[in-house]
Amino acid sequence: MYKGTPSRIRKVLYALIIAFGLLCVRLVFVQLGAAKPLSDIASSQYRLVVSLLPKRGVIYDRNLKELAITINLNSIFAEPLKVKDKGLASEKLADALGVSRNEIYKKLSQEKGFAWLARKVSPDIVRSVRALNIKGIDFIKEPQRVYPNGAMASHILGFTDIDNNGLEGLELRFNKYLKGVIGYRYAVRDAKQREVPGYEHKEIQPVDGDNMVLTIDGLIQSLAESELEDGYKKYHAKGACIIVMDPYTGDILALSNRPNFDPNNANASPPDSRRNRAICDFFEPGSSFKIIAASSLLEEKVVKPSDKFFCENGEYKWCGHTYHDHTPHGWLEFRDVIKFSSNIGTMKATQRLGPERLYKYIKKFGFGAKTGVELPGEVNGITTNPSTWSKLSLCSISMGQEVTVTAIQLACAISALANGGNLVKPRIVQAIQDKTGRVIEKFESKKPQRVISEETAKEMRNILRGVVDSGTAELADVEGYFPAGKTGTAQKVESNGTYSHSKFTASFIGFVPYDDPKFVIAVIMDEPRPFYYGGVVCAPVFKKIAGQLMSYYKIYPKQQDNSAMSFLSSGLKGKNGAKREAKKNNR
Amino acid sequence: MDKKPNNHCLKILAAIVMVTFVALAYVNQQALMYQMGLKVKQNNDVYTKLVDHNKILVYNVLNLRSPVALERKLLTKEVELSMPSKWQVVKIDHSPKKIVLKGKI
Repeated sequence: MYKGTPSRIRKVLYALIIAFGLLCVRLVFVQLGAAKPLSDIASSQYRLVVSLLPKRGVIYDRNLKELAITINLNSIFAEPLKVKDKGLASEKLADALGVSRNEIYKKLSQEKGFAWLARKVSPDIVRSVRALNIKGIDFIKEPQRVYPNGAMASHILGFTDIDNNGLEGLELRFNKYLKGVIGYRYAVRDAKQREVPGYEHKEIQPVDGDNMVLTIDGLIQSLAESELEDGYKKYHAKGACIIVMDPYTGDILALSNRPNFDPNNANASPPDSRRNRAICDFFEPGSSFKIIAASSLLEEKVVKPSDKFFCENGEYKWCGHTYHDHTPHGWLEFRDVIKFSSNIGTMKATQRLGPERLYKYIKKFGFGAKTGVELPGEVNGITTNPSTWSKLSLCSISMGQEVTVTAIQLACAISALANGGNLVKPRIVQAIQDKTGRVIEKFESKKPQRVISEETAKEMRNILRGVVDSGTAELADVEGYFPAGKTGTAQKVESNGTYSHSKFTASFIGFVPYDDPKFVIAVIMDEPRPFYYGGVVCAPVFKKIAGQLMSYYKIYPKQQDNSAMSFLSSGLKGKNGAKREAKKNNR
Repeated sequence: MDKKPNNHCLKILAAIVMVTFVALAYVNQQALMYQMGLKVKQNNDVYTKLVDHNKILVYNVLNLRSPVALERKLLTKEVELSMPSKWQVVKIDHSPKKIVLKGKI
């Protein structure tokens, strides 16, 4: 026993030395050969990268009232492997979340470590789910874009997806400013995958999105939407849009479309209702476009307001085509041609101008090109070169056919008449600011381009005042505020290429007051029924908004307008004077 | 001669105590760090929760005072509001000087 012991001890010792040697070899092998992948596996087991989401920037109106903000809401997720009684849990969760039991059960039955149950739910739902105290059901905070005014200004603001990326409107166009930059925290997690506090390695702070200040006035937007909604419903229109603009700066004070949608729940609305018709839809403007022909005729001095034209008693054959007036007229002064929207009078006057000069003014007024407003999806409209015009084109274009425009182009064009002859660029974004209020980018009003002289613009304002005072837009008249404008009723083109006799686009574009315009308002209705005249359908909408706008800006109505009276006495001869004059001429 | 082994033992013992103390201090420090981190995290969670709740309340306020909501509310309650006509508006001059002058006249 004694003798044998050292030998056994030696053997054990040798064995231990060999084992130790093997371990050393293994250690060398691990350290030299497999250190990197093994340390990666180890760190992936305890390292944790937490994403720090930035806050999306706020969108304000011109009075710094919030139009779009971001709040944090809880999303509910499940760790299916941890949920024990899936059937019971599904039943309880289905009640709390208001979804079907099968849907929840399907999610809980997955062989996965993670499954979303509901994203960005209200605090009430979170409370009720929390009260169920189901193991394996947890919550995570996520930022949610919300619009406190609901559907108001939805086409301007647009909306975001579930991950807060802009999908429409300004949310899309200015996504890179609004979104911000995501941050990260590199931390350590425990065996239960929880973050161990106090062991953060590194933290890169998120950069919050920038805020935007718009030119929109929340209250004017609300007024415009309310009146447009009334008109849209009353006349069962297929679509409608309205633009309220400052004629001097091009600032858009309100822009709205019908049908509209609630950006808080954009997915529930049909895609058609999300289209910003004011900038994305083009249409033949009809008689509203006569302001372009009239302005160019006066500017080129080929026609004077007092020049007389024979309106053929409502029917005129030209180049094998018969043109009609809505109401038959005989001899009319040019100002009355526009006032009563005589197609025949306008086309006869435009003959004096010729295609090249008319086209020059169409382009000068900004038609056929984007206005450059900061909203996505703007279209050019269609204006063709005179070289492609037929013999009828000059007449057709002068009365707003064979040419397509957008509502915003019309608003800009009439702004030029309102502000003394300068074409303004529309603007909807004033500035982008960081969260401290420092201006990052300022969107100044672009320098307007002169398209007609001040005298011509003034003459046109007087003529357009006549349209409202005693012409086709008497329903637009606001007592004491003397608005001016032009109606339009355009036949829509059928799929077979002919003009429809049942589908019309009605429009009214105007400004108020006519002698010192403060606002330009353009109202367009697509396929209104049963009435379809711009002066019947759109003019009352203009009237209501114009009256409320003037009150809002504390501009009191004038009892008597002397300049208007002098104009009336010289040209219009009172409310029905021109009609009497026309009858006298006919005789 | 007898004291030498005792001195060695004491030194070794002291070293062991020292190492143990340092180790315990290290563990204690780590535990404290964890506790503090946990407390900071808890406070931060409370703060975030309050901020989030505040934002939801702000949203609710904005929602309530939005012109659209107010209009809807007025319409359902059939409260008819309209802008006053000019004859219904009385302008009050705030200048005391003028009031005195008028009084004298």
